[in-house]
Amino acid sequence: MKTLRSQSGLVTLDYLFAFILVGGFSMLLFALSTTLATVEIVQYITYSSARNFYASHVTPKRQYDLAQKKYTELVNNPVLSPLFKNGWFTLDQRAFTIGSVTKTNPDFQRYRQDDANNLFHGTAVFLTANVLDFNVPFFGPTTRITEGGREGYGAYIGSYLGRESTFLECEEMMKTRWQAIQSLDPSYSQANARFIYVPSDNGC
Amino acid sequence: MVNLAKSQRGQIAVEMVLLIALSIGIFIGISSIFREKQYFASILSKPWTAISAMIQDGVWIPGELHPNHRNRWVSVDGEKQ
Repeated sequence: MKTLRSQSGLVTLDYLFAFILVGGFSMLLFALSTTLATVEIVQYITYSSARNFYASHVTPKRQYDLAQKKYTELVNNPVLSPLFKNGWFTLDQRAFTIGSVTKTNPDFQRYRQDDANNLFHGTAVFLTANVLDFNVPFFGPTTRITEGGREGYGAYIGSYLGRESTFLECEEMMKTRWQAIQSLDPSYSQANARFIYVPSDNGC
Repeated sequence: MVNLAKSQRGQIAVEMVLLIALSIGIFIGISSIFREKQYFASILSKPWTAISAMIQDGVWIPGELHPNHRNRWVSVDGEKQ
């Protein structure tokens, strides 16, 4: 009887081993699921900001300001802000961009070199998933350690909807166009300015 | 006979100690292999390259063109592009 009692202790070690291993995998899956969900949330934030940047206004600065306002509003939203304040995820403000993303996203810089007309205008930010970087007891870290240090997990998240031309840009373009028309023939420049009206439909 | 029975119980104890030592040895061996080869890191870091490409550019292969790139949304050659 005494022998049987002592045998039951053997299972403890096996259980401990299996528990830590399975626990590590479970934590990894949980962290990955949370990361993918947060990616969708950040994607929405950038899309919403880019949508404000896209819509026409009086000046490009007003478009920028509205996009900035929407981004700040959503990031500081009481429901969403805990995600970025509890240390699990970080939005890198250095990579945050409203406007041409080819300047800040290193992966997009080659696009600019390929073709000057290939523009990416919108809102982008770099999300770092700190939640994926943790140590599983006895089994090591979930992040690869190289000579350069620990490789983190992150990605650029952005929405590139473009930007509509503003009222002032349209006005300037129509003015330039009228000057070009006038330069075509002397009779155009001699026309009575009172009978000339350039209709503006808030677009070019 | 009585003395022999006592010594047999002791033998079990020794075997138990050996089994525990063996189990701990295997446990430490496997865990050190995991740490050296960075298996846990590989589980995520390898697929993360593809996942981050999908997050960033909507494609699984890193370096592929973003859907907004003109070569992807404009195609004069249809399916050839």
